[in-house]
Amino acid sequence: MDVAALLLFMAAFVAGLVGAMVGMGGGFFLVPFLALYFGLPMHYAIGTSAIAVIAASSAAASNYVRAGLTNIRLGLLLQTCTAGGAIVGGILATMLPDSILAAVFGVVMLYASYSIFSSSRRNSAKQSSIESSTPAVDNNQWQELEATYYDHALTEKVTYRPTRVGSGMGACSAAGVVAGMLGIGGGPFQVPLMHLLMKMPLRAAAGTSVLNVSVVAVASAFIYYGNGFVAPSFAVPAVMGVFIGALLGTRVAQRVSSRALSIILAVALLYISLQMIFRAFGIQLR
Amino acid sequence: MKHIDNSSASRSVDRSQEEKFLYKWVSRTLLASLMVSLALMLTGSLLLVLAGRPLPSEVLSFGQIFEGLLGLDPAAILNLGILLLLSTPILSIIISLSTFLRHRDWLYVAASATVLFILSIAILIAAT
Repeated sequence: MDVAALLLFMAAFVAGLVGAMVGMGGGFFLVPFLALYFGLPMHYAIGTSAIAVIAASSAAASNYVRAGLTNIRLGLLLQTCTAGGAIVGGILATMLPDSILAAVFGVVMLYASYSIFSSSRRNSAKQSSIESSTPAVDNNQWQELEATYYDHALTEKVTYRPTRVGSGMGACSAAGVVAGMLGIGGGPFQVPLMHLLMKMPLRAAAGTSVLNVSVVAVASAFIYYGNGFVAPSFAVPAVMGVFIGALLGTRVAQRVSSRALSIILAVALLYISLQMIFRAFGIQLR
Repeated sequence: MKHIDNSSASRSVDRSQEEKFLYKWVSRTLLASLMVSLALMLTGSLLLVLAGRPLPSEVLSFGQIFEGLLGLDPAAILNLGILLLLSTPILSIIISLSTFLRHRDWLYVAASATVLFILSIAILIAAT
């Protein structure tokens, strides 16, 4: 294995580890890494990253599902919207020039950075009270979506029932288009959406998000694969790295407070987003 | 009244069994499919390196993979691994669909079938 492959493996490991801890697939790190460090054209970077995102999110989802943190029923309802959006996004992306894709990616990353930072601030102090007091809704609507999981950090069982499922599905369609276009799973959109709009506890939102991320990535990855925008020479080390990182990440995530991690993640995303925007205008910052 | 209580209790037991089965098998399917696809990707890569060939920079079409597999071409094995990886989340939806079908949970039968239908459009686009 050459040095470049080893470096990509290590970067993918970190992307998988951190991504799994916060309900992402790692695409937000891999696409810029492939595009900025290896100089891959955006379409190849996105297509190759989408393959790795499937490995990371499926590995994470396997652990989250076993731990009962994933709400499979809700996931399926949301996937009916995100998957369709992802196909539209994937097709749109194949028509766009490299610079526009890089610019859109940079702007979306800026938003993701803000979203992760603000959600970490909102939830730092009141995390435990929010999670344990998530109300079981009085009426019978979406009763079958009520779920219970054991929270290792709180050392207690948490029961919740998602609210505003219809609105969540609508918002997921838009998230799917953006995610499909950029070869990411859309974790930074789905987690806040489920947590803030649908009133799910953060851990359950992250657990359900990774399952959705894998389906969104599949929808767009097939489009990219069909257009030949996947480079196996980059995909192999990336997939191996994110797979091991994601398996480890889900195990650590259940026992670690996410505040410091979220802030580091937000700063890293901010830095990379600026690099991507500069790249869109032909300026290299390395 | 007693009949209604029994029926309700039976539905609750049924639902709990459905949940356990669903969560156990979705988790296992995801991991097993991932393992097999990674093994195929690693085997293909290793055979390519041993043969002194670089890892390919382009993917093969579905037809090329099929032809390559007949001749045990390492690049085709590597590509098969990538395709199986792409199919991993689809397998978990098939498990969900079959579980909901068995328990006649129609709303989620419809949701699973819709997601599968949408993904099959993506596969169709990739194949053409």
